[in-house]
Order: sequence, then C-alpha cells, then structure tokens
Amino acid sequence: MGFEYDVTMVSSYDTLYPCENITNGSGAGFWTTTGTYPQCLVITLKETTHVKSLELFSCNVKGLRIEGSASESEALNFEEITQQEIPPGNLQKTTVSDINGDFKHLKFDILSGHEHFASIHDLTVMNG
Amino acid sequence: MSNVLRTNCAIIGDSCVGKTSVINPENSGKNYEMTLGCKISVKSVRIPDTKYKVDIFVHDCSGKQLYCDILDRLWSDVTLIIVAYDVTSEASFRSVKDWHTRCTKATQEHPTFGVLLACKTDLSNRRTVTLAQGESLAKELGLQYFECSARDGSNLDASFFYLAHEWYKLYMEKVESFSNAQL
Repeated sequence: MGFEYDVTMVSSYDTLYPCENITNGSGAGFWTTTGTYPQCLVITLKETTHVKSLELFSCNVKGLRIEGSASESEALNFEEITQQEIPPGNLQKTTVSDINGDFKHLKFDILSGHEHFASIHDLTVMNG
Repeated sequence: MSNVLRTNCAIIGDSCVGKTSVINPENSGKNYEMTLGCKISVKSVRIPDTKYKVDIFVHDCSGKQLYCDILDRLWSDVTLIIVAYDVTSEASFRSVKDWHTRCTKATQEHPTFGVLLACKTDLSNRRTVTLAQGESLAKELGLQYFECSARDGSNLDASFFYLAHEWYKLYMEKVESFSNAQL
C-alpha cells in the first residue's frame, strides 16, 4: 500500500490535466508537461517517512532524476537518490527499489524526453 | 486562467538581415547594433477560442561566424526555427541552406517546425530575391514561407502565430496519445 502525499510544486500546469491526477492511483488521469525540458515535480508526504521503493508510470520521459529531502518545513537540501534513463515505450513503468531513506519531500526532475511533451500518470511511494 | 505552453525558437541567418528587428520592431530604423552571441526574449501568442497561450522563448542568434561554436550548443534545446534572409541580398539567401542544415543537425533528436522569413520587403526597388525563389526554397527545406518588413511593420507576427499554432496542435495530438497509453 502506498503512502499518502500531496503534489506541492510543478513546473508546468494545464488545468485539463492537473498534477492531482498523479495521486489518485486509478491511472485514469495524468499530468503533462507543456513544453521544453527540464521539468520538475515535488511531492510532500504527510510526515517524514522511511521510504523503501517507488513506482512510476509515465510517457515519453527519458532522463529522470529523483531527489529526496528530510527537511521538515520547507522543501530544501535535496539529495540525489537515483538518476536513470528510461527507454521509450507506450506507457513506461519505472520501479526504484532499495531507496531506504527517511524523506518528507521527493523531487522528480524530468531532464529530457523522448518527444517534445511528457506525462506522468501514476506515482506510488511504498515501504515494502 | 490560461494554460501556458512553452517552446524554444531560434532565429538564425546571416548578420544584418534584420533578425533582431523582427523581434523588436520598435528599434528598427535606428542605429545598427550587432547582437552579441545570443539574446533571449519571450513572445506570447494566445490561441483564439481556447484557454491556451504559447510562450515562445526566442533565441536571437548572432549571424557572425565568431559565435558558431556557442550557437551549436544552444540549439540542442531548440524546437522551432526561423531562418531569415534579406530580399535585397542574394548572399544572405544563398546561405539559408547552410544555416538550416547546421541548426537541424544540432537539434536532430526531435523533428522541428520551421519558417523561412524574407525580410526587408519594403525595399521593393532594390529587391533581388523574388517571391517564387523564396517559396521554392522553403518547399525544398520543408519550411513555411513568410515575408515581412520591420520598417513598415507588415506581417511581423505572422510567423510567430504560425509556429505557436503548430506547437499547440502538436500538444493536442500528444495529450490525446497520452490518454490512450497502455502498458
């Protein structure tokens, strides 16, 4: 079961495809970037939590960097968790395991894309 | 609230063809000021009857050879191209192909939309490059042809409107494909 979180910052926003779609878990809606790279998304967990793994569904994302911060109030002092290149695909599924860190905020940087626009459909943060 | 789409656009071509004047027509006709390296400005285009606005980050690139190496690196993020030439200068028209090849090489990862822009059309009695020549080159390079004059202000926004609309159409297509994406 995934932790609850809020999306607290996005670098682009289309009211038809809002970032809240990422959290609903149904995979029906999605958040889309609206042009140019890099793009960035920050989520904030309800409290500082031990995170073991996460799962991400996306389209057209190429270079992805994930950073975490344990800072209680403001989202500061991010440290890199992983950086990877995601192969092209219709819907990309990315699983990051063995994170094993205590985080309050997680930042997802889309550094580049396979096409001009990219989307994130679903994101689950887990402790198992 | 309107939704903002963003894109990077490079305006290229020989020096002195009037690239900077297309972006800043209010300064045209005054003293010539050479663009050093690259200047970035934003053109906002509203798409009629929608909630969308396209912000085009225009990279005004110097036409001087000196800056070749810097520009090649800048172009890697560029998705739209405007190649400009001066209708009174055949030399500037001849180098259009060169500019276009160099720029598309640097951006080769993504196919781009482009415009061939004929500048200074107010100088009709000194004109040496004809409309037909321009149109046939545009066709050959896969660009959309536009004419403009910064001096009398005619048709300056047309190329930006065209590019913004193409970008908006592409966005709509991609978003449609995202909503059908499956594992």
